[in-house]
Amino acid sequence: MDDNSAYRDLFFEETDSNLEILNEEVLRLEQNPEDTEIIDSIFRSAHTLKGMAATMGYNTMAKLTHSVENVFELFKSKKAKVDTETISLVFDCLDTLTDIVEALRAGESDELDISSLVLRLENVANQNAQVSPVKTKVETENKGIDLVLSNLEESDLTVIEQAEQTDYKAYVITVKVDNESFMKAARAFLVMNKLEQEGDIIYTEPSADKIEEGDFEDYFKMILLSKLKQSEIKDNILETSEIEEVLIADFDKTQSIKSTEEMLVESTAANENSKVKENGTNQVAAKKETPKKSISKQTIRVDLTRLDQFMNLVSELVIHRTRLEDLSEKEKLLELSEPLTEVGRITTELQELVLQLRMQPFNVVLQRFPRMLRDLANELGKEIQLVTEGEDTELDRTVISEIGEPLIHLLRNSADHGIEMPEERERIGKPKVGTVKLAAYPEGNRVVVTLSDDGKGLNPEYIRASAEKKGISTAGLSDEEIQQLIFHPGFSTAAKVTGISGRGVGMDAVKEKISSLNGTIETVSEVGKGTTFKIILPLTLSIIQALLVRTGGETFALPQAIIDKVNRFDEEDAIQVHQGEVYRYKDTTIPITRLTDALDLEDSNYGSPHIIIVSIGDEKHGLVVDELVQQKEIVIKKLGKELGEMNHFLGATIMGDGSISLILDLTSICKGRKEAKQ
Amino acid sequence: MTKRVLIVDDAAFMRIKLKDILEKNGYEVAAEAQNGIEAVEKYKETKPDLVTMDITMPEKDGVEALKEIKAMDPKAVVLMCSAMGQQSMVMDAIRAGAIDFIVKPFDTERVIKALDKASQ
Repeated sequence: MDDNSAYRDLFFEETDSNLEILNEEVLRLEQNPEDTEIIDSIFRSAHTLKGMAATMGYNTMAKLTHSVENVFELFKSKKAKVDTETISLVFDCLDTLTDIVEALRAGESDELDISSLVLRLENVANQNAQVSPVKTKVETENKGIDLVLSNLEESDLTVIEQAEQTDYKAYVITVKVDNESFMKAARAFLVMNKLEQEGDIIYTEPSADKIEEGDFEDYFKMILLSKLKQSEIKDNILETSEIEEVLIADFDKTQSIKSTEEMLVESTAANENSKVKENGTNQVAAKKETPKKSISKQTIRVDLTRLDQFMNLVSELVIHRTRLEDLSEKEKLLELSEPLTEVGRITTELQELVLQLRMQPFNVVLQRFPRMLRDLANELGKEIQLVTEGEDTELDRTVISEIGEPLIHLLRNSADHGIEMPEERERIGKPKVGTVKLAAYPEGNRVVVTLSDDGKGLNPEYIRASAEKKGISTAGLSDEEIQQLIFHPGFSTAAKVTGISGRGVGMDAVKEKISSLNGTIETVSEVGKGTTFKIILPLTLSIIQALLVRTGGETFALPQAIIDKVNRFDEEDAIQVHQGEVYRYKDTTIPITRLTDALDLEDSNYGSPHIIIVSIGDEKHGLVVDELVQQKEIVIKKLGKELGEMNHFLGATIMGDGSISLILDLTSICKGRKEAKQ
Repeated sequence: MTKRVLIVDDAAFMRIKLKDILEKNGYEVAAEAQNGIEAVEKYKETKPDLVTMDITMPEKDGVEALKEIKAMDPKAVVLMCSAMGQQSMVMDAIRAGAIDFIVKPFDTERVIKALDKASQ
């Protein structure tokens, strides 16, 4: 060990502050066992402590912190419960750590007896997990390494043969990791990651998930398909530190495989083993998910349903306030008017506050994209960078949780169909690396999300040809209108169906999802320059702009976002065709639904009916109602489970006078007409 | 030519230790940073040849900082410094383009070997 005396003071200073943080945070953790931020902060401190102690050569202290850290790791991955008993144990350990530090400060040795504490900590760990999360060094004997593979399958050979017909060569490689090395798995991963950039690893031994778990002795084997020379590959591997030895040879069927009998026995054993391990990997993956945030912000987690409840109560308060105002007006109670104004102000503030509480930054959605795009790019052999903007833009939680899926689809489309192959891009004078940009910004009470790529753009020629092949009429459509056809149900331009996109259900599903969020999507595209999708979303889903209409004596609300136009309606406007009634609108005819029929209401024969043209996906529908009432901002209240069968309604809202209006689900009402007729 | 290194670690103690190792072995310390945010700023300012990046740090962790630095300068040479038990984060870092990693506690010989290889 190096001489560390120079760092002693600093070590004690930082150790003291970390122990202090640990004591405080563990206490808070006991009260908020679910708070991952506290656990993260604890974890960091414990980690720093361990690292410092180990570097100073204070082994007892390092060992104890390591064991404590294991328990925190279990808390973090939710494998162990934060209970009073465990917390007490952790406090005992912290006390002992303090004692050790004091002893060290006084210049004494750190050899306190910690065996009973370590044992208790290990018990906690063992009770809760079969897999010890932090692996300590495994001693391995120094064995010679070879290039014999034992689990090759027929399919692997086929792949190799095919590859050899092109420029690729198949190599058998055995890499020996320095047996003093910590984290052999990550070491192996690093090596394989570098190799994959210059070729394909088609086989590993042990299996890839075992290597990722570190479940191999000090060496692992693989078959690499690459265009590089042996020596280049070897150099590439040796660039990584702590690699002791590399063997490489051209793949030779006869020499590389063990006899079939041996192979059978070993492969069954390996299969069973890998099943067990798979569970382990899943758990490891799950515990990575915990989000990290700065420790300075104090936050608590609240169940979303409670916020909904809060929202509901506030809006009911607003309703009763209005009623009180009506009453005080009617009875001329002047004394009441001032407190009522105050109540009004406060309820408005309350409403704004609860809306804010439900807001989350757009970043929450963005987080998973960089990784996804990177994997996609690798899979497709393209080079793509993701640029994001407006990560702080806030949206309602419900919108946030729903928007991810359509965005993923659009991203995949951009990567698959939009961005060209690197060689192609260079040929036409574009930067080799394609760019996909995802931006969000607020605009009034809406949020605009744009996704643009600098790929090849939507070529109207291809779309036209493809549309006609699928029987979609393109007569008289402008190029821009043709480009919008990609949202048409059952449309896909990909000549070849790939695993990534191109099943042809994508874009209309995207559009439908966005419509269901009361949003709109449009595309602007220039051939050769790229494509931009512009999605406009409401800030929140619980308050919407609505049009109130009256039909059959009842008042209903319609979401404003899907209304295209409202016209007066004369009975002569309805054209009877064999399928039902249609209406002439913008040079085309659209089906008519009479709300009285759809909802089985009494026909009121009202004097001046209106027709409301609504867009549902790509189609327009006309909805005939008796009378327009007003345009209003309404609070959506979900219908309870008991009314789950009522699929013509999105929910209900309470009006200022205390009465209830149902909010129409126009998709269901207009589609209902279609299905009934078919 | 002497290689210039940016040291990133939240513990001052670790930074001093690492600085000591580096300077005794012919490296120059271009700057030090104590969290991911500082790391990105210092990288912009000093354009070092190498970065040693701790993983667990407050404000912004090492993997995030690595991603930002890589986005700024795809050629950046970043070595991760990790304690035992952080394998999954190390793998994330490798995916994000870290060239190598060193496991704490620091052993002079290993650190220098990894840096020498990375700076080739």
